[in-house]
Amino acid sequence: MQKYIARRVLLFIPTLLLASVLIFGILRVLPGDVALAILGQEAVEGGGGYTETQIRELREELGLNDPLPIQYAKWAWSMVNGEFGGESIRSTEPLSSIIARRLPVTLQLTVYTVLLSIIVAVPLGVFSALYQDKWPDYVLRMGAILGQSMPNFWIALLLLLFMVTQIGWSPPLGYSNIWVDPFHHLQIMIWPALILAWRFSAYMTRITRSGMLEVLAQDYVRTAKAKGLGQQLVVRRHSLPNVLIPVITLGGLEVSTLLGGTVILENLFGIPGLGQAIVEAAVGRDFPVVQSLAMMLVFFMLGLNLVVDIAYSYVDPRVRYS
Amino acid sequence: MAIEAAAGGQSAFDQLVQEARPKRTVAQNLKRFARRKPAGAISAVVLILLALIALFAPVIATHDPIRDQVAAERLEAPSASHIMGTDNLGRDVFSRVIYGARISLQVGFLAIGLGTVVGMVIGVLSGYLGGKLDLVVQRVVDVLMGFPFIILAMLLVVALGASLLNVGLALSVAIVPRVVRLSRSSTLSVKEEVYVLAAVTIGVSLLRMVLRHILPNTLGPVFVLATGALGGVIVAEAGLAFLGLGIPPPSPSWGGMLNIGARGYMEAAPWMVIFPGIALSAVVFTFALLGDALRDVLDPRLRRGDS
Repeated sequence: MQKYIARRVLLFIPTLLLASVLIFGILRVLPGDVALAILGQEAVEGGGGYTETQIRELREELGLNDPLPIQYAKWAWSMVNGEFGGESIRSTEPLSSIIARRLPVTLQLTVYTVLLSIIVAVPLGVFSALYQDKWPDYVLRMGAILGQSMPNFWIALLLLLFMVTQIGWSPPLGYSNIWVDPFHHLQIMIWPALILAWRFSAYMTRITRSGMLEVLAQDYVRTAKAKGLGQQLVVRRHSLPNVLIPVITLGGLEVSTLLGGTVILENLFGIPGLGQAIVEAAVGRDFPVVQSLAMMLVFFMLGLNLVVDIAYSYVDPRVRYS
Repeated sequence: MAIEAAAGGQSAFDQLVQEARPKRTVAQNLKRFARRKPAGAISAVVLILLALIALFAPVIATHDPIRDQVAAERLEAPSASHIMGTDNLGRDVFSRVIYGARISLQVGFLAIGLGTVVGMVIGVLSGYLGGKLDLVVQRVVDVLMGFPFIILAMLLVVALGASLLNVGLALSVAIVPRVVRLSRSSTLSVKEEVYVLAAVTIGVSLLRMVLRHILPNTLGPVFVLATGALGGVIVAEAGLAFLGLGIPPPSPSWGGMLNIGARGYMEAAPWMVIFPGIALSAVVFTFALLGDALRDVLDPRLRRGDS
């Protein structure tokens, strides 16, 4: 067991290094001059052009004159020692403060989505399994397909449109911290969480349903029924606990795919999380921010997968030996 | 030379195989598909229609999607002359939606085509050759799979600059690891087959081995993946454009149209967000249906009992 965990954790380090090399490589080695891209963008926005000296100064400031391996080493070290690659070239805010301010917001949105999904998906999955191939099962599957094929930003736009024109209410524009004004906070966060949860709960419902179907066919369920337990008790005490383990672990692995949706919806609803920051930086060609935030997002995604894998190996001993 | 003769000549074995499994023409195969998977067949027809719409966009569109800007006709509601209304610059939304199909399909097919070919070459070679190459490829694939799809595409678009070609390229890179993983695993299972051993025994070259014996057996699952992923790629293109990172503005990308519509015109001109969104969702939905139907038909693991 400890050996398995140790191996997984050790493997995590080269994985992170490789990820950082890829991110660095994409932004630096691909054709295109970072300094020119930044100045070009500024010139387009502000009108006018830029001079040779400006290019040289910016190159110096960004450390672009160093050889690539040194640039990489400097950046990689700064990700470890807490500087996270310096500061934004737009707002000059240090990246450590950007991350400290925005990371909790993205995490909160993810937690809300997952909680909502579990609350909805587990009962629906059980229900769907109990009524396998009858109409409630079909209705639920249709809803899932619909949620999967409508892009989440379009669902969000339709929702906003509906609220504005039919109810005459729209979510507040300014974000507030949950500890400062929880009511105001939820008024903004609930909508993206609901939209993300639609798709996510569709996935969770499917796992719950198939897990339930498997467990309901087990001998011990038949025994429980044979000794006269009601369906409620059979489901609650004998079936559900056995289903929840794979649901939670598989769900955990899938959480990482939520990130893509979070990035888009944070922008749409004006939620100041990492997703909004990285898009703003990408649009403004703020390379240090794009680079470090991409690394942070990938770090969380890979880290989450690691934690879920280890958790799963506790629950299911077969994983350890394969 | 000996191989050519063996492959070209009709052996008794070949004839036996042919008698056991009746050969169907393409038309017969299509008919069978339509009968077994009506949803899949309908979606295939819809997609052919879509391709025709994209191809004949200049004929179908009533206005030019970029140049026809009439200041007096800004934000007009749908009417006989503009059946989907006009946008904030007085452009015809219907014509822009029609031309948008072009962009979506171009980016989609570019990304999927390139991503599939590159991914299959890497995946098959990595699976067949094994060894150090395989080890390195698998690590890189694992890491790339750890990137959120849209973040990877975003990084590449930022590095390359946004244009139709670059967005297609960026999305193809996001597809590659998925194709590599799939074609590698089918290669690994095919590699152990007796006919591969037989081919090795008679001294088939690496190129011929891969092209004739391995690749054809990995095509099915990869084709299914590609069809299913097309919808995802089209959404990703729209998502990038929606964020302002896709194909730059005057081009009528559906995501870009949603982006403009969402910026302050939602109440005044809801048609600016409704129609491009319907087009986008419909396309993604039909690709998902077609992908599902193809998976049932082409994936041998799911084919139970029917021949």
